[in-house]
Amino acid sequence: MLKTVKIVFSSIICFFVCGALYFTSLITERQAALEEAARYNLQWSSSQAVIELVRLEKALAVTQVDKTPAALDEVRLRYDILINRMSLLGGGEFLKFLKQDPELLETFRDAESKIQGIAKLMPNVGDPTIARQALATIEPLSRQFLGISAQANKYGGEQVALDQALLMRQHWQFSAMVAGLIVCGIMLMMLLNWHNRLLGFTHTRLEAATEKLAASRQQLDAALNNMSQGLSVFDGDGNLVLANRKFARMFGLNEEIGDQSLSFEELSRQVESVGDVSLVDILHRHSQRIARQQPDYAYESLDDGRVFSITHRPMENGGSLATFLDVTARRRTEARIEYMATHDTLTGLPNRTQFRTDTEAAIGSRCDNEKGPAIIMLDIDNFKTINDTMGLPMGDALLCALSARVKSCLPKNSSGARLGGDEFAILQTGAPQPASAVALAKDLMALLAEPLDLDGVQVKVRASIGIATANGKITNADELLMNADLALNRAKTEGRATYRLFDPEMAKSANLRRQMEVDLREAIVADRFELHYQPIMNIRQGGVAACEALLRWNDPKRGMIPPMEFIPLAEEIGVIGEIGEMVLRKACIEAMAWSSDIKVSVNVSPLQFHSRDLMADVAGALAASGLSPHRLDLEITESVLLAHTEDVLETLHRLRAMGVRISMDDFGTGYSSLNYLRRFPFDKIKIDKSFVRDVDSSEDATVIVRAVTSIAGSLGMITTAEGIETLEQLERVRAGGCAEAQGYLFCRPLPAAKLRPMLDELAVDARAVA
Amino acid sequence: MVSFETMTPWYTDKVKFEGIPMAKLLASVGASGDRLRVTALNDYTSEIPVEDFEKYGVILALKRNGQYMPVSDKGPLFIVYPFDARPELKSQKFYSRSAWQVARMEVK
Repeated sequence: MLKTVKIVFSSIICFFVCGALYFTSLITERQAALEEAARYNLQWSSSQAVIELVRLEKALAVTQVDKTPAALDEVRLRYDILINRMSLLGGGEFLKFLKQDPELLETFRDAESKIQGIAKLMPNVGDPTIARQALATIEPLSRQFLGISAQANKYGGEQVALDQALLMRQHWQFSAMVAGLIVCGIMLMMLLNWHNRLLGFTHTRLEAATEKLAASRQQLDAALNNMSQGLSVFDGDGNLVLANRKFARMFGLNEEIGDQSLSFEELSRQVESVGDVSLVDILHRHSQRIARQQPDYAYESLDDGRVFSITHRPMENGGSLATFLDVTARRRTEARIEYMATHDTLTGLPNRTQFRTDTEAAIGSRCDNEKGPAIIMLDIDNFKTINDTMGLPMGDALLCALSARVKSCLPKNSSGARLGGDEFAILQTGAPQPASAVALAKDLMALLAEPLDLDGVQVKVRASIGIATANGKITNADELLMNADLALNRAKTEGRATYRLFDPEMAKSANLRRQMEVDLREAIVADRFELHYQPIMNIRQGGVAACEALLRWNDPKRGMIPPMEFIPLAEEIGVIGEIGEMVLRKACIEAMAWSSDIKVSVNVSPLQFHSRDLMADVAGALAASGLSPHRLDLEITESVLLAHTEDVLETLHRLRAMGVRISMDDFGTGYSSLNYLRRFPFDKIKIDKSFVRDVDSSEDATVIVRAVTSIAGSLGMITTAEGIETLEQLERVRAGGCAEAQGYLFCRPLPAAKLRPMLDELAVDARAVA
Repeated sequence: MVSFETMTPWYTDKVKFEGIPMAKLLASVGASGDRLRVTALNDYTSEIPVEDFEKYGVILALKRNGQYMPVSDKGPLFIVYPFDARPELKSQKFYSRSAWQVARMEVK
C-alpha cells in the first residue's frame, strides 16, 4: 500500500517539477513576448515622417515669400531631418515591417528615391523655381507616407492583436499551468492525507497490537509470577533471559531480576552476595546441568533446611528451561508420614512394621552367629486390669511411662519398639547371645519391679518376657518374631512375671496346637465327637438319678481325646459355642431313650453364656428332642459368674424359669464357691473329686463334705459327690449327707450304645442303696 | 569621451556610439534638477529623469561608428542609452527617451 503511495507521490512531484520548469520557460517566453510587445513604435515613426515631410513642404513654401537665410536654413534643416527619417524608416525594425509587404516596400523606395532625388536641389533652394520643383516632387509623397502610416497602424494593430493573442494563449497556458499546479497540490494533499490515514491506520493497528501484546505480556507475567514453581530460562550463552519472581525469591535475589537479561557472572555474583554457600553450589551444579543439555531432575538441599526439586529441560538454541519447586514441606510431610507409618503415636517408639524391618536388616547383616540379633518380647501382665480399673487414659499414661523407663535403660546395642496394645519388643545386635539378651531381660524385670508413678498414683507393673535369638537357621524376621512370641506365651503360661528363652520345643508345641486347632475345626465339620455318659446314682433311694454327658473327640490321628485336652482350645478359638450346642442337642436326644426319671447333665462353658445365645441353644435342643425341661441339668462352674455376672444371672433365671435344672460343678475348687451359692438358687452342688478322694483318709475332708451338704440342704440344694472309686468313699459321702454319687465305682463313662444296657443294670445296683 | 556598442531598433547591426556621459555633462555645467527636457530639431520632445544618466550611463553621442553624425543621420547629437547593457532598456520607454537631432536641453 505504502509503495503505491510512494510511486504516485514521486510521479506527482516529478510533474510538479516539470511544471515548474515549464512555468519558468513560459515566464521567460512571456517576458520576451512582452518585450516584443514593447517594441519600437512604427506608427509614430511613420507618422512623424508625414509631419516632417509636410514641414519641409511648408518650409519650401515659405521660401516663396521669405528669402532670408534663416528660411533657407530652415529648409535645409527640415530636409536633413527628413533624410534622417528616411534612413530611419529604411532600416531596423521599420525595414522589417516594410519587407513584409513588397508593394509597401516599393512605395517606400519610391518615396525615398524621390526625396534623395531633390538633394541636389537643396543648395539652390533660394530659387523659387527650384523650390517649386522640389515641392512638386515631394507633394505626392505625403499621401504615400500616410498610406505607409496607415499600413503601419494596421500592422501595429495586427501586431497588438497577435501579441494579445499570444498573451492570451500564454495566459491560458499560465492558467492551465496554475490549475495543473493546483491540481497537483490538491493531489499531493490528498496523497498526504491518504498517507496520513495509512499511517494513522497503521498506527492504530500498531497500538492495538501493542496493547494486545502488553495484555498478553501481562497475562504471561501474571502466569509466570503466580506459578508455584520458580522458573528460569537461560540462553545459549548462559545469560539469564527470563526468570519469575518465585525464582528470585527462592534464591534470595531482587524480584526485579527477571526484567532484564543477566549474564551468568552477574547472576553468580548476586547469588554469592546473598551469603548462602549452598545456593552458590546449587547454581554451580545447575550451570553444569545446562552444559550437559540433557533433560534432568534433581533434588537439592540447602543449608537452611529447604529442599528444591529441579526439573531441567534443554532448549534448541543451546539454552535451557528449568523449574524449581520448594518441596521442603512436601518432604517434611513425606518424612512425617514415613515416621507415622513406622512409629507408635502414643509412645514415639518404632512400631511393629519398623521393628520387623529393623529385625530383617539385622538378620541380613549379621556376620557372626554368636553375635546375631536377639529379640526380647515384653508383655504387661496386668494391663487389662489397670485399664478396667483406672481407665484408658491411665492405661495410655502407663504405656508412655513404661516405654520411657525401658528406653532410658536400654544399652547402645538395643532398640525398643511398641508392637501394639501392651506388647513391646527390643532388638539387640552385636552382642554375645543368648547371654546378653537374658541379662537385659533380667535388668528389665528389675527395672519394672519399681512401681511407675502416674500422676501421683503408684502403679505396679508386672511383665512376661520372651527371648529369641537368631542362630544360623533363622533366615527371616518373621521366624524370629514368632519364636520370641512363643517364648513369651510360655512365660505367660508358666506363671507370668518371668522370662523365658525360646526353645525349639516351644515351636513344636505351638505347631502341635496349631495342628490341633485345624483338626478340631475339621472334627466339628465332620462331627467326630462322641458323647459318653456317666451315670449319677441316687445313693439314698438307689437307681440312676442322671447321666452326665461327657464329650470325647474321636480323632483319627490321636484317637479318643478327653475334653480337658481340647475344650480349652475350643474356647480359645471360639468354637465352643458350636460344640456346646451340638452336645446339648445330642444329649437331649439320647436322654429321650432313657427312662423318664433319668435326667441328663450337660456341662456348660462360661463362654457359652457370654458369646452364645444359650437360651436359644437349650430351647432348640429341648424342642428338637422333645425332652422335658426338668430332665435337663446344666452343670456350670463358678467361673461362669466371674464376669458379666448380671447378664449370666439373668440367663440362669430364665433357664430355670423354663424348668431346666442348674448345678454348680467342681464346688470348692474355685475362689468363693460359697458366695456364689448365695447369688443363685442352684438345684445341685457337685462336690469336686479332690474332696472325695481325701475323704477316707482325712477327717477334715469329711467334715467339709458334711458342712457343704448341710449348707446345701438348708438352701434346698442336693449334693452330688464326684469321683467315687471305693465303697469306703461312698459310705463316707453318704454319711456326710450326699444325695448322689458319681464315679468309677459305679460306672465309667460309656458311649450311648453301651450305656443303655448299663442303665438297666444299675437300676438295680444294690450298692447304690444305703 | 566614452563609447559603447549596442543594438538599437533603428539599425540592423550593432552600432558604436561615442560621446560625453550625460551625468558628467550636467555636473560640469553645474546643473541640478529632476528632469531633463530634450527638444529635437523636429520639435520632438522627451523628458528624461536625471537619475537615468548616472544609473544607466546615458551618453550624449557625437560619433556613430567613429563618424560625426550629420543631421540627416541622427546628428549632430544623439542622447542614447546603452540598450544592450540592461534588458529593461529594451523597451519603448527608453527608446522614446533616446532623442536624436538634439537641439535644446532644459534642466527642470
